[in-house]
Amino acid sequence: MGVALSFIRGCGLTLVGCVFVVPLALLFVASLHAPGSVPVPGDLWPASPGTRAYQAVFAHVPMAGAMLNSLVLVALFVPTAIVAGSLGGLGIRLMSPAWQLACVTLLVGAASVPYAAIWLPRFMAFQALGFGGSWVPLWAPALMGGHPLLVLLFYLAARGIPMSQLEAARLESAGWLRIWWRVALPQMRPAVAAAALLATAWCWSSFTEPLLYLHSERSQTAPLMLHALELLGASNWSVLMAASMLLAAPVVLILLIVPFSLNRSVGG
Amino acid sequence: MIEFRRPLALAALVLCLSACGRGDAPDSVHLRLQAVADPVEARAYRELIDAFRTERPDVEVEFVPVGRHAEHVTRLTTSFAAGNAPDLFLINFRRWGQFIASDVLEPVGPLLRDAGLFEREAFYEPPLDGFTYGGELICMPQNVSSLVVYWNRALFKQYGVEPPAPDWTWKEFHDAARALTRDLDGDRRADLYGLDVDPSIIRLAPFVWQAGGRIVDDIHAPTRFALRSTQAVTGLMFLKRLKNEVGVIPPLIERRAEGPDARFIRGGAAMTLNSRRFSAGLRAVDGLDWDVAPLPRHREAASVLHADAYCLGRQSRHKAAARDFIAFATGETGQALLSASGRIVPVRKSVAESEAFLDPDQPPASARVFLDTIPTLRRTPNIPTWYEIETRINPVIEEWMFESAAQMAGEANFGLRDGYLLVDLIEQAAGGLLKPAPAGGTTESDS
Repeated sequence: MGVALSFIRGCGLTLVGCVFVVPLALLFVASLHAPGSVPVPGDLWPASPGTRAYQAVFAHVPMAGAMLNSLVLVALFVPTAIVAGSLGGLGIRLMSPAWQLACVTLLVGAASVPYAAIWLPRFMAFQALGFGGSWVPLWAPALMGGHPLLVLLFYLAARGIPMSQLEAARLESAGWLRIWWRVALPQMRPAVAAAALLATAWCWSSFTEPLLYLHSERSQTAPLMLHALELLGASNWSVLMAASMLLAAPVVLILLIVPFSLNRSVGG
Repeated sequence: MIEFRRPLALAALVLCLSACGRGDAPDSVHLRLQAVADPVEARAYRELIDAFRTERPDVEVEFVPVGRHAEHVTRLTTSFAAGNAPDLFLINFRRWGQFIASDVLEPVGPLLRDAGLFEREAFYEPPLDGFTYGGELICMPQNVSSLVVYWNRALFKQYGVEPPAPDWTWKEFHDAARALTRDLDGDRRADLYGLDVDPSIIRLAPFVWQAGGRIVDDIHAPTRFALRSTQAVTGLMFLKRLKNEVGVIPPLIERRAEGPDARFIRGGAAMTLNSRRFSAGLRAVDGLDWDVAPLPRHREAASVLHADAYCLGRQSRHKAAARDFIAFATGETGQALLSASGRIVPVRKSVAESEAFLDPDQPPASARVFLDTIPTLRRTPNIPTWYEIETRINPVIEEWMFESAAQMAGEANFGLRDGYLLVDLIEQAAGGLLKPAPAGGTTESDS
């Protein structure tokens, strides 16, 4: 019975997965067209598939450097966001119930503020601090946990840790940082994996902030290069699709890897 | 000791991050130029900057390319608000109005004139007029494009249709589009369309003018739309009639699958309407035999101005260097370098008339059409709210143009009333945005 249920569950998940793979497959096929041609509606597979569009991406824009910039940014952003977010989540967990409620309300409120409402004051603040044109404004949100929802996620994970464990560790003279590292974080692994996944996806695909803050082409990130290619027009759609594929590939890889570790952590 | 190391490491990281993207030479003037540019265009701008650098080694110009107009404007408005705007930026004629309202631009005309770097006769007049406000040339145009007909020479030849004449009329345009609309597989649906076009005010405006109508009551100080005339409505309806009554433009469902540019490139449309920028994309297409022709004329000939200009931020600390760069970019060398990208029609007459633009080895064969069209160019108002008006009314026009088949049937005998319906919709969508301009504008007529 258990095997049958597991099989049905596996089939269902595969089916759902296939639905999400279709756009990616279409993207990949479109990227195989030669630059200077346009896909004909209904004709999926190109007459002479090739990788010329991928070569054109690197010929047209400094995509390699931009992807490296994006990778470095993700490497800086995600660990910081996880450390800050998990510390924040644990901190809220240790508060009194009334303060916990207040913090959760605040987090939900902060997550609900439209980005358009804060981008100008933030931009002006970073300019006033002398960080215009640098990566600091892109990395700074990680110091606050990356996003209010990530802190909320860590808080919910921390709620699953029995208070008696935290108090016992405290009685053993462990400091809060040690408790966070030794007691809380190992028990929040699924939340860490989920937060890492979300933070990576947000940071990797972030467009508006790099657009506003980065002036020099040397420091620009991959999504900005993608938008630069968009202006090439209909005769170079395959180039745009190839660049989109290059941007999607790392996220897809992470999506394939993280759920396994998440599953193992949950014990599924 | 450990307690001190962590903050130091953090400070080092912040400094490292701050340093990313910065590389100002200490003793040179540093200018920032922001523009919408595709990768090929961006290369041309960098060549321009390198050439300028050989003349003025003391001025370093940093080029900041942006991929799309909407993001370009977002970035500009944000950076102007924060006091960190680029010294120079290139902006399209229809989008620069909002920067007049915020009074952030330093008029470039007087700067160039006072330095003896500007001879008005050397440039085409329509773009200069387009970027003039309150009697001053605010931004210096770098190109002067227009809406033209792109036509597929191979398809015209294959179906025995006469190539467009320089003075062809609405009737000849209609006949050609009809002759080229073909059902190739006998399924009673067209596989080849005579024409495909993006319906927007910038595409419809030339037809309104050709029919003898006007878009607004006063081009310099518009107070209302002037579309409630038989002539204007006739112009507004021309393309819709071609679609509904003659069936030479693809219906909405086909347009959703494939836009006009892609359809033309694929050979699914024999004609399309676009500006000079489209030429560069077509040059990259193998095996497409194409050329350009002027827009057809009706009562008169008319096309619409497409132009970009260098604007100088009032807060720039290097106005003299920025002025010199503008003079170089709109000079012989600068214009020739940018022409090579194939994207622009030079605003400087001598370059436009030279092989730098009329290169016989590069399509289109009839590149001179862009120059011959210049005397017939008209423009939309350069008021601060015009771009917002366009963004509001263009969806209305598209919906009106491609409404459902049922509505089409109901309106088959509407005649001009259908056009007046569009005028109602345009006026409603624009709301109160079309208001008198502030004092300073002149009051010449649009007609």
